[in-house]
Amino acid sequence: MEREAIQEDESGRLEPSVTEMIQRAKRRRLLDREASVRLGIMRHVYIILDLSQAMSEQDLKPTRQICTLKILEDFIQEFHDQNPISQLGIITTQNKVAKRHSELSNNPQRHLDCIKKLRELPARGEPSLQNSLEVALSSLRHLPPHTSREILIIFAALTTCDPGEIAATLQKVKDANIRVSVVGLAAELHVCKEISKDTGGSFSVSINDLHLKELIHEHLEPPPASVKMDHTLIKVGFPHQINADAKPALCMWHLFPLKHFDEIVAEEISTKHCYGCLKQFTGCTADKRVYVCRTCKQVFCFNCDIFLHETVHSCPGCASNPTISQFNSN
Amino acid sequence: MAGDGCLLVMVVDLHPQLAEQESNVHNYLSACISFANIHLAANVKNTLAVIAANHLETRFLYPQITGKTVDRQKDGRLELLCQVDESIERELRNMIVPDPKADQTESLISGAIGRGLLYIKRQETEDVLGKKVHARILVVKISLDTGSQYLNYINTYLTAQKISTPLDVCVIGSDCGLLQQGADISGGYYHCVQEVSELLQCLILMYQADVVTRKKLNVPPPDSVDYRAACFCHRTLVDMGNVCSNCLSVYCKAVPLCTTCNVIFQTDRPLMKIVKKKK
Amino acid sequence: MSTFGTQTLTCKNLQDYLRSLTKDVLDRLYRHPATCLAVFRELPELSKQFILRLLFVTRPVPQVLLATWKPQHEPGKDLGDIAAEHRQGTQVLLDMAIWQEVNDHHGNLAIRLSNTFRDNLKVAILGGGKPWTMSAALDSDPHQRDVEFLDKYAMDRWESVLQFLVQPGQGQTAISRDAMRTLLHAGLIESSDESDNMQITSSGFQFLLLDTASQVWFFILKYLETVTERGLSLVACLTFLFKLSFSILGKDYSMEGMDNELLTFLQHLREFGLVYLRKRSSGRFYPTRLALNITAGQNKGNIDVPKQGYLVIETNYRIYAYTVSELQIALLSIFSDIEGRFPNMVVTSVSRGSVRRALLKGIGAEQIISFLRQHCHPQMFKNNPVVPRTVADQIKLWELERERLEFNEGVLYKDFMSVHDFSLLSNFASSKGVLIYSDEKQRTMVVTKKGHPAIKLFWKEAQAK
Repeated sequence: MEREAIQEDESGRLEPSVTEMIQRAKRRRLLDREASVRLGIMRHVYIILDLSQAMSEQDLKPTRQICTLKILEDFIQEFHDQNPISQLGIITTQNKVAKRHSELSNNPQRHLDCIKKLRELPARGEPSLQNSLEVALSSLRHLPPHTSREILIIFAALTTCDPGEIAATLQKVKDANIRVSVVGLAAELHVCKEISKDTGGSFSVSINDLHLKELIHEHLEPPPASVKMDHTLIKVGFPHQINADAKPALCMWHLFPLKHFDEIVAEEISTKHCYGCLKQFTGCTADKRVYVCRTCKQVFCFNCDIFLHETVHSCPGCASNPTISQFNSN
Repeated sequence: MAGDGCLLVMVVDLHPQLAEQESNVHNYLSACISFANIHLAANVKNTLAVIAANHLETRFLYPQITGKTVDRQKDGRLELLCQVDESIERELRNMIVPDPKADQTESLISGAIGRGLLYIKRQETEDVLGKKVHARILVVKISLDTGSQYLNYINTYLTAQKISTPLDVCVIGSDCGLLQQGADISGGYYHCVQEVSELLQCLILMYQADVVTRKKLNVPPPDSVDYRAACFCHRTLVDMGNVCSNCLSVYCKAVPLCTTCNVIFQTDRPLMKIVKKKK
Repeated sequence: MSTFGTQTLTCKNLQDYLRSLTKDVLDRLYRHPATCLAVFRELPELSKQFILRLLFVTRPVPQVLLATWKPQHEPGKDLGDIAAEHRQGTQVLLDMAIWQEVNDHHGNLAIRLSNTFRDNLKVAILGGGKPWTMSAALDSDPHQRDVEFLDKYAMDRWESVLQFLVQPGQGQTAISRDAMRTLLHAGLIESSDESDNMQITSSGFQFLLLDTASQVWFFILKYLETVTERGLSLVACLTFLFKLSFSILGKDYSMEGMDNELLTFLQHLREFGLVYLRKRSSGRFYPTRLALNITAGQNKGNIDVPKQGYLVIETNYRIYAYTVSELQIALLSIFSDIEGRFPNMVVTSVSRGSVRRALLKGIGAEQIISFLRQHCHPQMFKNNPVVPRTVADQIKLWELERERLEFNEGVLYKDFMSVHDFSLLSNFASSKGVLIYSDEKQRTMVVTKKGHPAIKLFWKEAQAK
């Protein structure tokens, strides 16, 4: 937040303008997530973690290695919550070689155990991008064509020590229709940028621990599906009942994201309370803008708008309208 | 927890099929209102919200946006309850409308649950000390289920689970698999009674206690929960279905094109068999 | 020393209070819906469920059936605590005569919900019956009072009682004789000599540090102990109090149908600030927040207290109190030293000396800390814990510090002629377990007062030999 951006209101108070900025920032994040693209839902993701000498730097506290592993712990939990039919694997690279520490699987516990072991592993030597891509490639290559194949590289070093020409590997990666994204801990590297650009992935460099967490967690959501992906019908058995311990993982909202609501100045409409939570619009700063569902035209307050889009993913206004709810389902 | 009070959100089904028998209407409404009364009377800090749903709309019955107050006690009832009851009963009656074509419709319960969740969420954000609000939702349902709101239901269940709010379900007549899933996912109770006349006793026995007290009382034997999904083409529950690899739409038989996301399926390849893994 | 007689102030909750009444009084109490509901509300959660389960069951329920209400046994789950809670929940109901033990037609031991209680609870919750006496119709009041006015009125009244406690010498005229009588009866003040001079007791100090809801409840309980002396009926007063506790704030209620006794009671409540009465002849009264949900006592918490906290407590033992109220400042100065006064704020500091001063008056560390917590500024509630840990711990340590010395009454034996005599006696005393202290070099020992005669006897016999 920049200093100049904060303005006093007529009564000389700062609070209203701060409230407004926070609200705007929250909404912007929602709007960024434009929802019309087709997403790859069955994901197979390899995390390539740099464990070279550079990871022992202390610019992230306590060290880059510990900080990153902590973030990955959260990431793994969330990933399996939000992507129940996807799989994750972990590869590390140090001393010029790459090693697969955890095979592709959808069991979060296995990955968490692996992360725990990696904490004990001293960071040393140089990383090898080529070797680690090859390792990931060898396993991703054989997956069925209707799945989304992804690699997420977390890279701290400024060099890579490769046995051959990395361009050749890059071509193979591209042919295998794998999307590679890189999150850098130190600086922008040309080779990383090239890889992610060529494969349709994203590239970013973190500025601090919070930013790093944000960047890594961006990969929780499924990426747009590649055009080269095939589609098939898969036979799936549905259980009549399951044992009490195993709660089913259900996650549907990626498929049918809730459309954005229109932002409207509260004074322009006659509705004086939120359709969802009954909150009265009093005209204070938080209520200055209200949000209208484009389909059912019901009015919601700011908090409900955020909650509906981030958590609920369906509009109670539409669900309370017989015409819309029938139409939607067909 | 007991001292903190609890917010009860009641979702009451007012489907027109209820109106077919006047005695049922009376029993049904008085059971719902009595239950609300007991909840409010049991603890000073208990609070209540009532949302009704029929096949046309959902409506907040309590608290009311425009507060009309009753003047004086009419009988020996607690004064606060008089006010609550009066407004609820009037509105409930208003919303029961006979409809000849009602057979093909279902009540918009999922919309009402959604609004209830937003209401709970608001109480939580408005709490001065930022404490967790102990809230639960009770759905009383009488109408049949057509499965047309499947997605909305699942979304509300997952939300309830996320904000750790149990969703209790009491259905009258025939079992409702979809709502049973909701109770199971969110940690609430599910029960089915045969007759409207049994409703009040069942509500008191099973749903009056708050979540903590429930652990100290006997529970009904757990039913097995039917987790089958409804197919998108005929809305029937399937044991073995075909799932679109792109959008996970469920079809009861092989189709060449997904009607949800419009992709064309590759048929030259052999279909992969995946057993959906649990855990 | 006088401080060693102090007792901690105990405030009974409604349940304990009712359990101390006789069955006959209870039975008469249950004849009104308001009392049944008030009783029901304050029961333990399990007991509430027990009552509800039998609300529509008129026949006696065999005890065997009650046993099935416990949760089914599951491996790895300890049901011992739950079973104990069930027993407790049942016992409460039996003690309060809500449940009755009877024999069913097979002669088995069975339980029945008291019919009076059942009927009246049903009326209170589900309707039916007659409206309560105070709900007679009224025209709209030309002198309508709003909630804000009532809150201010009630707090002014109540604070004048507290103010009197703090400085009993002054402003004696501010509170009525009835209030003073109750304070005396409760042992919160005592008259030091034959003159009219009143002095606050250690219980009085402890009372001051309670939250308002508990204060009112304690005060009313003590008042109720004296109502029979005043020629009022306990049952009538309690019933009216319960009715009052369920009323709605800011609404006027009718005095129609109230007999002289109740009118006197109402007048007393007016003096304590529980109801607002413009004129006796107006025929209407307004309950204030003090009367609302009075039975909930401490459980009432913050919901009913309109005033905001005003204390900011720092880890350096400083307290900033944003208040101009003399009473609040006086309360603070019980356990802290005032460092400076500003137009809208007082700065005080907590020190060993100031806390010990309070401890000497019989106030406990826990009471001081809970006072601080109750009156914390809303801003402070963002911290966890609300009262800085260093401050809270230190206050507790200062209390523990006083418990380093243990006082025992004893008898001193000294100037023994020989070591042999000394060891003979001290060995005997320690074998009896009455020896408190012994020093061989000085040849002195102390035994308890109780043990003294036996030692004396033993010594005489030993001498005789």
